[in-house]
Amino acid sequence: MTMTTDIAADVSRAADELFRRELARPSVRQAAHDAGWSEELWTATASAGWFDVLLGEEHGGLDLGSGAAAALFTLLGRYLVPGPYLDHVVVIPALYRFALGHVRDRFDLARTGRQLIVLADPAACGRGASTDVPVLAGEDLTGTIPLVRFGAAARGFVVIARTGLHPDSVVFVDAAAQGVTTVPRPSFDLVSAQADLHLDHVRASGDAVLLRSDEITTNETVRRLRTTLRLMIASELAGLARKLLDSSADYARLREQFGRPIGAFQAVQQILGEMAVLVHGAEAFSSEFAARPEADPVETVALKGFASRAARQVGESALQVHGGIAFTKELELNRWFLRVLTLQGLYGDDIESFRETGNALLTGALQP
Amino acid sequence: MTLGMSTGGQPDVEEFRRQARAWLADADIPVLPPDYGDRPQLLRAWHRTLYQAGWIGIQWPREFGGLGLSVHHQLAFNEELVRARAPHPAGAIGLEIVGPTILKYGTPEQQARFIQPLLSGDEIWCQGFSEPDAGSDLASLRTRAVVEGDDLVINGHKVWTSWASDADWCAVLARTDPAAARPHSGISYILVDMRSAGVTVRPIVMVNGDAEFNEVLFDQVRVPAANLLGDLNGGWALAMDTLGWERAGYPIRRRGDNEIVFRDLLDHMRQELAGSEPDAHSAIAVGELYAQLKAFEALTTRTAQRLAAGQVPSPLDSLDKLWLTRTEQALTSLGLDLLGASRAAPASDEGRMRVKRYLYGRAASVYGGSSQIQNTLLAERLLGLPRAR
Repeated sequence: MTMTTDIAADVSRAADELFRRELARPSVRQAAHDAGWSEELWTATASAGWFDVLLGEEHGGLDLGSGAAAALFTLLGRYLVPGPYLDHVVVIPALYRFALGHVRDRFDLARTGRQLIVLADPAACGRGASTDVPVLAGEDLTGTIPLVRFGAAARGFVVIARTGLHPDSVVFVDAAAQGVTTVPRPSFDLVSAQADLHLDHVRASGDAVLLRSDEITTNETVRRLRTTLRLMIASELAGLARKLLDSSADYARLREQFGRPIGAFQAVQQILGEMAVLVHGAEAFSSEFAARPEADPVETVALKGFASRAARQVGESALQVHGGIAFTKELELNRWFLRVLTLQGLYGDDIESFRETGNALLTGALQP
Repeated sequence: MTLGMSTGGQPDVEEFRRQARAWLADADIPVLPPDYGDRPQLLRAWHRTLYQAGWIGIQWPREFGGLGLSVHHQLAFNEELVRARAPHPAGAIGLEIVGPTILKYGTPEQQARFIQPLLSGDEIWCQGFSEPDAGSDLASLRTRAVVEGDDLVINGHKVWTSWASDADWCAVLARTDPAAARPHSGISYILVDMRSAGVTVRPIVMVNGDAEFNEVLFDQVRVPAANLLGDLNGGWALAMDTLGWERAGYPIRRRGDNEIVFRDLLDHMRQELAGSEPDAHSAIAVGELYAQLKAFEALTTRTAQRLAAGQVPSPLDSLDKLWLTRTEQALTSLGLDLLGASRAAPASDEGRMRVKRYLYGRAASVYGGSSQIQNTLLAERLLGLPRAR
């Protein structure tokens, strides 16, 4: 426990230093925040060994545990760093041992940041899931997954598909393969370059099928993967919320009306106090779960719901504290808020998450 | 009780927890009657039972009769109490609030006189701080104490005094220097025997029908000057210390109470469902509440580390208090709402308890410093905003 906390703190310090240094450079900052992609920043994080944080030692990874990874995601949120980090820090290490032959080669390229490989999981869309979920029939993979993050830039996809009524299969798809189309979605959130992925009779055979739906490990692997993803998204939301709070407090100290800082008005203080309550709750909740050797899947759904709602509310309050400027593009902080909206909708928003948690509690599947 | 000691002299927390769990499994745990007035005797007996078994004063120094263990051991025991659905001992105010202040500021004579009966539960404490015109603005209190020879003579009026009708002793804040430059610097902290002549306790019946609070009137009450804790006119620092412990420790204890209420409510909802599909509204409400309780649990883990490191008081105490309020009010509101049209006149005892808890829960955003005060404290002390005056 102590060791995990120390490692998380060390990782957090190192990442904080890296982002401070990199984002102090105007070119990096501009690229990251305006275009939603900075090659330099991506390379810097890859070189820092981030994509090995969760990879097992038997594969030459660092195996630092979810506490360290969560610390990274918290900082990705705080500094609004764009990139398919969920995919490279979580997904590829989790599936690495199932990747053989040419897929292993591709994963190795992804591991060093030289190629973008992203997850295409219908469950990420929650209620917005397409009815045309990809189905693997024999060697044929057909279907659509909307809102794949960095879908247009990716060179390969890890697709979670179904086989008839059976649960999930995991398939690697090359972006250049016959039948693969990506349609970019214009997003209000500049740092989440989403695209719809269409798979039209894509051939999937041999090593491309990482896990088959009839394999016993498949369900458990996919379930764990989604649990870790929810945990990391919650951590990133906590980081975003922290930034929204700190910037609002800074603004309330500086902005003057009626001859004094607006932060001296009790009405404004009440808003900021409420924001602090939510931010500390989200930080404590996510880091507590991340420090566990294995987080419970349903409890992590509750965490995701909590962090989503907290960050959304903190974001809305941040707009209120900033007043008129908050409704213009001039306020940089809006980018953090729009990112919150993207993450809120990933893997079930707060309403869906609370409903799933409540059902588990009421049917006895989850004991308090 | 025998404890497996590790080399550091402290038993492992988890081993300690297992011992507590085993003891509680065989203990004769009292079931609290719905009427508040029927509880004190049961809780006093429970306090004595716990004391005799060696479970009181877990983190108190050994030389004062405690076990000399860490706050983590105390919290593990509290969690086991919750698990076993066992109540807290009667002397919680003494153990958690007044006691630590006597340990820190009392003379050796005061400690020798007060600590042992406080631990054993033979003497139950209450806390005479709030007054009709001094609630959130505590420093404006008007109860007076005048030095007359070897005595202090107290006159005044305290209110919202929990447990006063059943307490043996009261920690009273009184103004001893009305001419002091600042109101904070003329206040003393006095230990008063509730059986003293001139002390009158009037129970205050709450909106839920219980009488946990009281008014306490002091009419020419003579107290030996030896019962002054700390310096004359130096009581404010002690009071703030006491409140620091209250703010940090109370939410942790109360969180456990609320978790029992949550489990009971969930059991009840499951029974009503009898295997049928939960409706979306109830599922969302239960799921959100659970998430909030979990977030609060995670926060109190941090609080425990803060307590263990002696970082009390802290601006984060206000944050815990606000979290307690949030969860308690959400929980008790859901319990009430599920009663539907019968929420003001439920048919069962269980339903009546839910209404009582809901009404009691409304006080959570007022007692111990209102939510508005706590938010202001957070804004100033945690976020560094300018003082609003």
